[in-house]
Amino acid sequence: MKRKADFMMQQVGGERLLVPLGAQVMNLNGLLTLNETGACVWERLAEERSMDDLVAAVAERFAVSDATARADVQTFVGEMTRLGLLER
Amino acid sequence: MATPHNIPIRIANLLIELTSPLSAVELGIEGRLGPFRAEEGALENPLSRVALRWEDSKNPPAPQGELIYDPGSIWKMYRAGSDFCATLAYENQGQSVPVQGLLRANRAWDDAILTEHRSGLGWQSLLNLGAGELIFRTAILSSGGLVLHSSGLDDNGKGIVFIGHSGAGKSTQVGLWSHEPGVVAMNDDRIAVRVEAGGPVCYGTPWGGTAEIARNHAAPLAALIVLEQASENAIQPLAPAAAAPLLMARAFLPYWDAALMQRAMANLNTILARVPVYRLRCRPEGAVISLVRSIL
Repeated sequence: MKRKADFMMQQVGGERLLVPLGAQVMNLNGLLTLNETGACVWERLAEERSMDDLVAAVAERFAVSDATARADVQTFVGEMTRLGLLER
Repeated sequence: MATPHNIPIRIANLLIELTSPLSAVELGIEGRLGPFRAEEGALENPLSRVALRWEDSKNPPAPQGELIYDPGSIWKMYRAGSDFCATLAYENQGQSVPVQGLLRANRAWDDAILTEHRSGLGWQSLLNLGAGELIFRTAILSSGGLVLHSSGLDDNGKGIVFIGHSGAGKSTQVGLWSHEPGVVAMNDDRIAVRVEAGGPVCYGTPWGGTAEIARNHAAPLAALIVLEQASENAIQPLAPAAAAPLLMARAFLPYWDAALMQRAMANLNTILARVPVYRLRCRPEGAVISLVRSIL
């Protein structure tokens, strides 16, 4: 999986916001805020990644177990999929 | 070939150096932009400049390039090579009309050409409306500025900006305050803000709202106030993290280009770091004035 190109993550007022660009502005209601896990996964998804790649990255970055990382990544990827932010 | 007219316009310390074969009167821009005309002696040291040429077109101009953003309003943005190209068309009683104006700008938005199709009696250049505003709101980004959907006033040397979507009470606030001694109403719909060497400043622009208040006036910016209508009056400070999404949703942002958007976000961060932001829940009554003054 990979993220769509027409969003950018921006630090605004200390928050990490996903800012839509172009046509995406019309498709999205409101702005999305990313937590640290979300930001880590979002950055990785600039390239094509498997679920295992993402889990390994989160487990290493936050020093958590694979099971914990997998649960977090699945939640985040599920949300991104629902909002149409990923290329499948 | 006739000598072109030089018509310098200075809004929020952005100098728009307009050249045109038509005079300001022939363009029909004297009423709106006249108060913002830069005098001969006031061309020094603007914070940024835009070279803008106006051209007449015999036929409705055609868009060029690839459509990159259509906000569903009077303009659409295209990318043509390294340039941006916006088409402008105002509906006529619900009927869509041919393109009336084409605005081409370079990547930095400091060099632009507006091509228009003059038509009929009473014609006015789109510089009065969407084209002028689009140039201004985008060009001001390079000097740290941002245009907010807001009304603004100068309360005895303190600039107060009331931010809100349509119907939030922006004009109401200006109306309430304008009876106070020493208050100057600046604009009821579009205020420009910028953190400058001497501190944050707010500026009136030529584009007012229903009350058509559009004064060429600047004031040191004391507070940004996000409006909400409510049955009780209350004001509370907002931390930058809470203020950021509220301001973003009420700012005029260049959603069509990542580089411009990054610039706009950097400006917003600077503003959030330097200007207190409040949420004001209020009824449309004079008691709000003492409440707001109590926190400034």
